[in-house]
Amino acid sequence: MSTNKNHVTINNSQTICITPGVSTVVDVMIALEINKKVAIAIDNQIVRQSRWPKTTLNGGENLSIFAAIAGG
Amino acid sequence: MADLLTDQALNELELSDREFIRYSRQVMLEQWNEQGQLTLKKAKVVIIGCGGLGNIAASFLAGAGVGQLVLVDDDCVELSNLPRQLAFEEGDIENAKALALANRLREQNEHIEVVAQTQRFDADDAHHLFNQADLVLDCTDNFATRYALNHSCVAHAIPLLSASVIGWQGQLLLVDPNQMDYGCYQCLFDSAQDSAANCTTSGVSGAAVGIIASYQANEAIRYLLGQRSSLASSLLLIDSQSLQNQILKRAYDENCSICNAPRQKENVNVD
Ligand SMILES: [Zn+2]
Repeated sequence: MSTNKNHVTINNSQTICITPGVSTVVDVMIALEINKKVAIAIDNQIVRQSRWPKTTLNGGENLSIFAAIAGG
Repeated sequence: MADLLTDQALNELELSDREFIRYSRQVMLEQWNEQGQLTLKKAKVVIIGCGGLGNIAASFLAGAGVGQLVLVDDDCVELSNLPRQLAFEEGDIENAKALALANRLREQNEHIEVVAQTQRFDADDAHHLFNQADLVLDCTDNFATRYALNHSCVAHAIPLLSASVIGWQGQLLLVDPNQMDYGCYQCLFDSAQDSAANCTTSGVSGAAVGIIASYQANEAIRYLLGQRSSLASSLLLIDSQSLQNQILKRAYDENCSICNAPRQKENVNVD
């Protein structure tokens, strides 16, 4: 759980500060320098990629960032 | 591919005394019971991919008494498969996986029908392959087949239980034609996923495969028994290192080219 209201927690480990310049899911992805294809859930609700630019983070959220895997 | 049991033969199925004894421990379960066992006996499950996940999931379904199993895989058994593909032995090396697994399942349970198809999944053959199928298990090892399978299952309104594994981690979800508000595989992962990582290039723990395949088999049985699966509305992430699972809620993508067309057609019919 994230306790700092100015931060979001990434995969239960890393945290990132929410600022006027880093406030949407896309901003966080850029800040984390994630270029590969991933899926994202905010507080365990998956957010589809088309909504990342408009999905604003307020601080205190938990982000799960993960990639699809194909092995069988 | 030979057809399995006819409708008439299915309706006349009963449990023999020997079957009743064989399945007695699971029939004891309140949510399973004798009627559920008969339901499993009448069920047809198509398993795409006979590698690590397919090996173990198929073995559990055969053991549980799922009456008709169809195995689809065009690969042959290799030495490096043996740590996790537990139905295979050294003597199976270079033999077709689908045939070798079918033989093993027939030895495991004399009361079930097993059909092997030694070809890669072909969407053009899906109509025949999925005929009267109750469930499809995605146990494949590449994104191209996963997307094609998702497309075919949505088009034919066949439930798809999709599992995947790499390293120590796995993912599991159910695409249920009766609960399409939660979308399909492509709603979740658009079709441009990085395709480089697989068990051959990234490695995999055999025991992790076993964990994820066991979840997949357990959910398949629960689904066939008519129990509600939370996986129809969610994605399960399994981490066998931290021993922490995570359930993420899904929603359909209104831009999805795969499941949006049937949904719109359904809305037209309702109106
Ligand atoms: Zn979809």
